Amino acid sequence: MRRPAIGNLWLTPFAILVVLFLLAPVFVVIPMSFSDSNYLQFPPQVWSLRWYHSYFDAAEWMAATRTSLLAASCTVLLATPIGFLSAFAIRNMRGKAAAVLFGFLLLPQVVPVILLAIGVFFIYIRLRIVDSFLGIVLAHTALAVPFVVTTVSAGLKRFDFSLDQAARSLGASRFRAIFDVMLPQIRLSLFAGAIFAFVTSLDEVVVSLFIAGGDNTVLTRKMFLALRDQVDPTIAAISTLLIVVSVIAVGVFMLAVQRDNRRREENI
Amino acid sequence: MPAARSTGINGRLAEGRDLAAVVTISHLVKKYGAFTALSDVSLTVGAGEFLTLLGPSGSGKTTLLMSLAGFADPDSGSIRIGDREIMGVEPHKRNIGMVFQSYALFPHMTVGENVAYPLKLRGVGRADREDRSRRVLSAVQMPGYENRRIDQLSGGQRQRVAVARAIVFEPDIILMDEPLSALDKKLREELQIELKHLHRRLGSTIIYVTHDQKEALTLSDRIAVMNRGQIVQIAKPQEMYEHPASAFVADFIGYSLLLPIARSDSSSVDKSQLGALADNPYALLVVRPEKLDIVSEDHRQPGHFYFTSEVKDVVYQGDIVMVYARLKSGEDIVVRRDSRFATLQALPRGGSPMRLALHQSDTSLVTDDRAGVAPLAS
Repeated sequence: MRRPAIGNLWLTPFAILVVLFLLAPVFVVIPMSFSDSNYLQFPPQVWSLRWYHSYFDAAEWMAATRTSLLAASCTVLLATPIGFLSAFAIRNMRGKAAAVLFGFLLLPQVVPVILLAIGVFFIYIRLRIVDSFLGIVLAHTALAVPFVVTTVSAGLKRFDFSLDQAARSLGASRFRAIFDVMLPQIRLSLFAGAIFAFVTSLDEVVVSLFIAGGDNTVLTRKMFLALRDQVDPTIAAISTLLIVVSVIAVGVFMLAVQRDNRRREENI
Repeated sequence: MPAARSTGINGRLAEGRDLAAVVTISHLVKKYGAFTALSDVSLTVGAGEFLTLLGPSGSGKTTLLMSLAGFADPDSGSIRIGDREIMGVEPHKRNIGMVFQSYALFPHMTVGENVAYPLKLRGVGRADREDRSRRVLSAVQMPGYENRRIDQLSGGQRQRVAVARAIVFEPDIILMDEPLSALDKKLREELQIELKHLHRRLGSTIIYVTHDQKEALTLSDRIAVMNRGQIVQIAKPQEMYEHPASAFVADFIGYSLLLPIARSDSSSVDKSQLGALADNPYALLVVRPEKLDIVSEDHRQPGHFYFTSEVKDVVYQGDIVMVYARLKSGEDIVVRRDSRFATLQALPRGGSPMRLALHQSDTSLVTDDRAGVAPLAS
């Protein structure tokens, strides 16, 4: 290991401070979720799992969770292929058109989300799909596609397109070549894009506030409303569970990357 | 699987049976905007011939190869393999084996899976597939490597697997795009000989792209030299080297001094053999370093050109010695000698005069077709 230069020593405590600041809410929320108090309390006086019970025993929390998980899964199923095909198209384009299309596809993540939410809301009224499951999935897909396009584009940059040509010269149709050769090569990027899409949907609250009510209330929307109406410590429990889900998703991805790297290093 | 089917390439490997196809390219044109990659290229490659496309980068050789493979789409012209027109046919329906510069082996498949992939695409059964892959891998000196991963192979081994994968499905023709350029010199020369032998055993038509003139001379039945989207000369290796058709070819294949014969000093060059061409301002005499003899002042023999020069430098390179000198008329000239003791002893020192002899059979006259010079009027 190379020792850092003296001039850079201050960077370490600085970095630690930044990380602490970023993680502080997590360190507050997790203990609060195990509190016995009737309101959000930090630090908790008495420990209990009552808010976890309150979450798992409430039919409407469970319904919202089901909707959220289902919407996130459907978003993954839509955004991943759309994002992949877009990135593939961009890769095959020449000149400015590629940059323009790339920028266009990133728009949903660039436009202030509240503007997007209002726009989507008005369009959905016309289309009569406000508060519908389809509406949620479509809106979340629009928000998730930029992540998939970005990760897959990065993957395609590393992909050697002579592999694609080789497959086709050997007798594979374009479609077959993509499936047999390209997808296995960029699977980590696709996987990363899919995880981003899943988390984007699961985490999304602003657009959902406008278009995801009624029977199709998603978890984040319900949490937001619960927080507004009465400060219900159940949301601390749910937040903790969401954090766990996110950490698991990222962890699984990191493991996959690590396994891939190790396999590569072993053979150099 | 019918047994007869599997005898194809293996049969050829064993019996040298000839299944090769003739390739006929006519009037092929490909433009990229203002750049003309192929400008009316016509070429016939014989059945079982090893033809090399040789040229500098941007000469059109890769575009021509990619047009054959189906990855470049020419604006006009025709390409026929045997009797079949393949212009407009999708790459996967052309039945052409291709070896890529980067080998393009699939890293997520084993060696065996890579080689069997084209057979799998053609619906060949598993047992037959494995059998044929095994035999082809033996043919490229890679027996028993079926279960290795690609990243466990050296560059030379990858190259062999890439060749095996390109021949296993008995393609009508085989294309190779600078397949040896990523290897070090020693291995490259070894594999050149292997490729030559494999070609002899397979009897397939091979079209090979390289910018390495020595590789082209070693491997080819015929060489097509390309420049600026055109084939400037097509000939057998020896003919190409000994009798280049133009200054470009003479300059590109091997090292040569191109001496403007009309302007050269008449006291140092005997031009009696040249006839009318001697006065043509665009005629150049091809002088190759290894064809020159260092001779004494009184050396006079029919059929020779003589040059009077002054030695500038003598550079020892191990197997050879290069003598750099300047002609009376001002041109630099290089003489190549072997490095045996007796030769070295006899070499002139820097600053001393040197008389050089060149036999007329060891040279030829070419027209100057290089940039900025008008072509020879006939």
